[in-house]
This record gives sequence, structure tokens and C-alpha cells, in this order.
Amino acid sequence: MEQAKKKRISDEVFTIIIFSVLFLAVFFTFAMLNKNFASVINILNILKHVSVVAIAALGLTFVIAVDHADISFYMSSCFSAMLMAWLIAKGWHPVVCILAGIVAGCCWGLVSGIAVGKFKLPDKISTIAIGSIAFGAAYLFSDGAFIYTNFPSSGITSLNNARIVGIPLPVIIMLALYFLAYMVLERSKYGRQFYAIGANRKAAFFSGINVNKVIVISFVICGGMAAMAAMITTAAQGNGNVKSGLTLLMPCFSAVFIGNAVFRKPSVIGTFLGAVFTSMVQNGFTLMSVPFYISDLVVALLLIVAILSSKFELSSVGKKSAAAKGKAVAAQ
Amino acid sequence: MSEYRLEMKGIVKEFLSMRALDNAEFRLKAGEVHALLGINGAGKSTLIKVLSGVYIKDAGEILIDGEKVSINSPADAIKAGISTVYQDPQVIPSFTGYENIYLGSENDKKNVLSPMSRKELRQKAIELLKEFPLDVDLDKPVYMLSAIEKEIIAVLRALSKRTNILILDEPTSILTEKEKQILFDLVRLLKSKGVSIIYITHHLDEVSEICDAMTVFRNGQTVAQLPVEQGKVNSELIAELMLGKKLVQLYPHKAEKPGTDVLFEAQDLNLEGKFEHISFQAKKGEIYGIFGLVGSGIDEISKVLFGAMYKSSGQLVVHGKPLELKSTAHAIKSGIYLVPGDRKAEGQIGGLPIATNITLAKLQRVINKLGLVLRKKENSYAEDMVKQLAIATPSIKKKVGELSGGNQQKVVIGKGLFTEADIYIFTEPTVGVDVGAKSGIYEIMRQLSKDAAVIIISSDCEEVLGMADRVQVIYKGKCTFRSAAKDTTLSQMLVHAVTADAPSEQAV
Repeated sequence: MEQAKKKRISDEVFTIIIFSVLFLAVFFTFAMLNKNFASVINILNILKHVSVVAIAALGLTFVIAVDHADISFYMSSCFSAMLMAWLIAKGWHPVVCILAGIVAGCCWGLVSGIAVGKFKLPDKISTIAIGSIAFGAAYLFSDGAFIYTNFPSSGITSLNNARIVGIPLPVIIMLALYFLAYMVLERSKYGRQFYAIGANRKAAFFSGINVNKVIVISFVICGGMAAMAAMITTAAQGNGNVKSGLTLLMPCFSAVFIGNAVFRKPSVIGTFLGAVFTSMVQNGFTLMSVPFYISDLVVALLLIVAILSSKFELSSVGKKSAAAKGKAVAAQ
Repeated sequence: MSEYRLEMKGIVKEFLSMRALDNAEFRLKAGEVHALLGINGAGKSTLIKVLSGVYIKDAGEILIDGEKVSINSPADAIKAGISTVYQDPQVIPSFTGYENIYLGSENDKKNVLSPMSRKELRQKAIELLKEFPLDVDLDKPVYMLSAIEKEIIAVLRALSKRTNILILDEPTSILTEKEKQILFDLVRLLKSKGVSIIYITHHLDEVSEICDAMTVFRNGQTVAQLPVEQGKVNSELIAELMLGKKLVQLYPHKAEKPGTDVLFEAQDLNLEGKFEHISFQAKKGEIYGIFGLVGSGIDEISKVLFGAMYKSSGQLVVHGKPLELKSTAHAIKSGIYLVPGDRKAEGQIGGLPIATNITLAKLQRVINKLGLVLRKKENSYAEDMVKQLAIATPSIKKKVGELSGGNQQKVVIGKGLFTEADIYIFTEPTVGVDVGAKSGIYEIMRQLSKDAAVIIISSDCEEVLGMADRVQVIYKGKCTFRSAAKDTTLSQMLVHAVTADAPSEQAV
């Protein structure tokens, strides 16, 4: 028994060590290939770039925790971005615009959540459909054209440019959201309910958990976080771009599943590490002027590797050691 | 030619530091039905998995017809003529019977494009049926078939692979009484065709009915190999062999005096198509028992009582007040807790630790004002519960799925105790629980009944009669019998569970 316990702990530490080694190896490889990579400015750049992916991936973590998938968030974030930009062009105060965008994101999440949680529609297909509706609707604001009106004067760009003690505001927002999410998902009663549903929906139901409600909430959080990611992109680009969110899908899933592979469950810290890792890879390739499709390709590869390792590592390591032990016994 | 179809000698299998099989021996003659007996964890399923190539043995040898064979994978086992039919036969529901029988062995050609002829398969299946005349419609999709017909399909699948050693793993666990007889006929037929059968079961009456010999396991070792003479088994001796000590009194003493306050009352409950006119009172200080066979509606009754399913009509009265249960959360808030019938799917969250499982149904007790879980408090509650229920585990951090069946069930019960309910409903509380842990769970239930109303709902007749102070029997969703347990015999209960027309006795 004692041995078994020690074995499992070391297995978990093992994956964390592997990840750290991999992380450092990638970091130093890029640093050697490009002297700008390890500069303070670039690291802040990476963090800024991380903030968009990391926030959207954080929302997705909640959906993955209840063992569902949301393929609508990156498209609904396009809608939120366009709504914000459109309201800014109309001369509304940026705070109002941002709130409206976030509410819209939550609403799209609510629609997905009700479809999946209440009506029990298949999650992937229905969220693709709902997301596509959101993406279609995003075109309505300007027939798909960029919206620049009022952007420099409205002050929304300061969301991107502002710094607090030298740290860019998007990074601060990201850290704040991660702290909140950590408290909710890992420490609170509600987090327990998310994980319980993800691990055994029926047993959670028989434990008096309102399963449907929690599933709906997870989608609402995902939609809301995607809108916040859209908010940062919009502020950074200084315009409303209907395609702004389309690059989020793959990095967000990669971030969540890399975290899942490292910690053996979808977790807030895991998603953060996953997001930093994927963004670092993307940024490194960008600095080397590698075309974007190569970095997309690498991120997608990372996702597959993450899924593979979370499925196989523990069981195969366990089997190997058991088999080795068995042989040793036989030899005696 | 050896005397034995199959010999297993000195089989050893270790998992980490535990010896699941320790020099186990097993011998099987041709055309013999041989029972494997032993409490859970005695090593019988490990032996079967070694034989069927699921596990690779660490030491020992396997001989078939006197010749040594090496079985390192399920494919090796099938090649050696060994097939297993598991408890819940794995079939593809939308495929027909004959498609299921030949699944994966449709034809011998390696070419992907070589067509599979349904006609040919069907013809082959019909010929198989000629050899083994069984009453089953192979043209129907399997989801339309009953449990026993699915089992027959699974057996036919095994037979189609020239099986001469067939392993039946608790084949009666999902069958009704009537279906059991069909299965026994099937076993006799196979025997007459020279197939050797290894029959794993918990029920000694089945052993006396159809087995020729039996092997008893305890702690991974073979403790006895006995013939079944003239269909008789010495159940006391077997129980002693299985437990290794005198059989302890399984059921605790009944309540000394009748229950006092009526905490829970069902008045004329109906659920369309499932059950009707169900009424009873559960009192503090005693255990109320509801017995019915699988499929009689007892599982649905338990779910309606807990708000997990909605009744069509009727009334629940809880603590003297009418109560409309809106959800399971509402039930728990009202002091009701259900230990669900399907522990793995409904009761426990196997992938989460013991502590998390125990507090899950009433997290309010371990959170602060911000809704954050206080881990120290949670852990100390969980430690207490582990001690109180004597859950055998090295740590409360251990995942529930890694515990034995009995300890898993105790965790599910602990989750209920943590809600501080005063109405406990136990559905099939000891399915997949070994004899030792069973008596522990029964003792917990009796203890609970001192301050709470306890309801046991089960398809195990002995268990209901052994535990309850008052009982009712359900047949096809209707109550056919109710009485005080002390005035009732097992056969009385059973007869009312299989027919609605039993001669009516004095009802209490």
C-alpha cells in the first residue's frame, strides 16, 4: 500500500518535471536562435499575447471540467468584439461598450449551455451551430468591414497600453481572472460541483447537485471569458475586426489539454501553463519569421501530444512497473 | 490424453505488493460444469483473467489436454479454445443476433474489399443453432432481446470459435428466476456436447443445481476441490471454506420494539408504466423492507422516493408534512438520502478521493462565508467517517474507485451520514460486496435505524427478510404482500415476487 502511494505521487511529479524540462528546453532553444526572444520587452510581449489566449482558455477550462466541449466560444468572441467596436463607433463610453460585449458573450454561452445542459443536445455539434450563428451575426454590424471610428479618441486603446508598476494592464486583468477562477474552481464548493459532474454526472445528481444548472453556468463562464479575450484583442488592435477571435480555437484547446496532461485534470494552473507554453511557441516562431501556418501546425501537434500523454502515460508507466515487478518475483 | 481438459498449476499473480494468486491450482475435466467459489477478492476473477489472457501470470503453468500452452493475450486464449462470457454480455445493440455472433470474424479474407455476405453469416448461424438448439431469434436487433437472449448470443459467439472451455462469469446476476432455468438448460446442453464450463457464482443453490464439481478459493489459494454429489452441497462447510472461520451471524438483531415516530410515508404512489399504488410507513427505530425482483419497479420506487424521478400521482409525507420533491437537492435538504442501486454509476465518483466523495452532498458543512472549502475541516470530518464506518484505506486521499466493493459502498453511505439525514433509503446495498463487508454494512444500517427511518429496497430476498422489521413484496410494480418480518418465511416472500396469484396469507 505504502509503495503504491509513493509510486503514484512520483508519477505525478514525473510529468510535472517532464513538462518543466520541455518548457525550459523550448525557451532556451528560442533564446539561442533569436537574441531578442529572452529580452524583457519580448517576455512582456509574450505575456501580453498570452493574456488573450489564456483568458479564453480559462473559460473553456470550466466547460472541459464538466466533461463537455465548447466550440462556439471563439466565434462568439467575434460577435462580442464587433458589438464593442460598433458601440464605440456610436460614441458610447468604453466601459459601457465592454460590459455590453461581455454580457453578449455570456448570452451566447447561455444559449449553448441551455442547448447542451437542459435539452441534452450533443455538445460539439450544437456549439458549432450556435457559434456559427454568432459569427454570422457579427457580420451584421458593418457587413464584415473593420470598424475604426472613434477608436483613438474613445480611450479604449489605453486598456492595452496602460501599465501598472510596469506590467501591462491585460496581464494584470489575466492574473486577476486566474486568481478568481482558481478560488472558484479549485477551492470553492462550486468548483467541487464542476469536477464532480465531470467525473461522474449521475453520482453528482444523486448527491443533490443541480447538474443541468452547473453545466449551463460553465458555458456562460466560457462565453463571458471569450468576450473578455475579445475585449483585449480589440483594444490592442485598435479596431473592430470580425475575424479577431478565429485564431483562438486551437491554442485554447491546446492550453487546456496541456494542463490536463500535466495535472491529470483540467485545472486553472494547468491551463495557465498550457497557455504560456503555446504562446511562447507561437511567439518564438513569429520572431524567427516562420510563416503563421507553421506555428499553427506546431500548436495543433502540441494538442495531439497533450491528449496522447494524458491518456497513456499513467497507465503504461503503471503497467510497465507492475510487469517489471512481476518478472522480479518470478525470478525469485 | 490427459484426464483433465485443463490444468492450472502453481499460478502466481502479483499486483504491486499484493498477491492476488498464490500458488493457485485448478483442474477441469472434459464435459464438466465446475463452479468457482470464493468471496470477493479471493482470487477467482484473477484466475479467470489469467486463463483468458487478460492478465499475464507471474509464475505457474497451464496445460490443456495435457499439453503446456502459453497464454499471453486474449487471442492466445481463443486459439486454445477458451472463451469467456462476462456478467453483462458485450453486444452491439443495433446489430442482429447473427451479426453479433460473427462480429470480428465475418470472413477469413484479409482483403478489405472482400465482401461480407450477410446471407452467408446467417446460414452459418443457423447451422450453429442446429448443433446447439437454442430458442433465440437471431434476425432481431439485439436491443430488442431480453437479458437471457443476449446471454445466449454471447454464448453462441463463444461457441462459433470452436470453444471447448467456456467461462461463465456470474451469468445469473442479471437474469430473472425464469430466465435462470433457460440458462441452466443451455448449460446442460453444452455439457452434453462435451464443452467444459467454468461457472463463477455466489449462489450455492445454482451450484447444487447444475455443477458437477467445485473449487473454493480463499486469499488467492485453492482451499478445496470437491465433487457435487447427487446435487447436494454442504452449505455450512462451503461457507466455512470460503471465509476460513465460522460463519458469523450475517444479519444483526431485529428491532426490539416497534418503531415510534413515522418519519416517512408513501401514500398511493404511482409512476405510469413502472409501479402503482405503493404505500408504506417508515418509522424511527426500525427498518422497512421492500423486496422485488430486478425489473419489478423497485429501482424506480427508490428513485421517486429521493426526487430523482417524478411520480405521476400520490403523496409523500415527510416528518408529518406533505412534501413535493422537486429534485435530489430538495430531498437531501429535507433529510432524505438514497444509497443508489448502481453504486459505480450513481453512488460514487470513482476518480475522486474519499474525502471529496464524503462531503459532496453537503458541502455547506465545510465551507466558510465566501463559499471556499475548508480543507482541514473537511479532512477531519472524512477521517472521522472513515473511522466510524471502518473503511479500510491507507488514506482519505485515496480514490474511491481503487477501493474494494464493500469499502466503496461504505463511502457512499458515509456521504449520506454526512448529510445528517434521518431517512435513509438503501437500494441493493450489498451488490458486489463480499460477505465480510456485508455484515459490516448491515450493522451500520441497524445502528442508523436507532435514530432514523431506514428503508431497504432490494432484489435479494434473504437480505430484505434478514434486515427488515416489516416488509412488502413488489411484483410487476404492484404490492402483492405485506407483513411483519418475524411472521414471514423466505419462500412466502419469493412466491409473491414471481406471481400475483399466490394464495393470500394473513396480511398485517
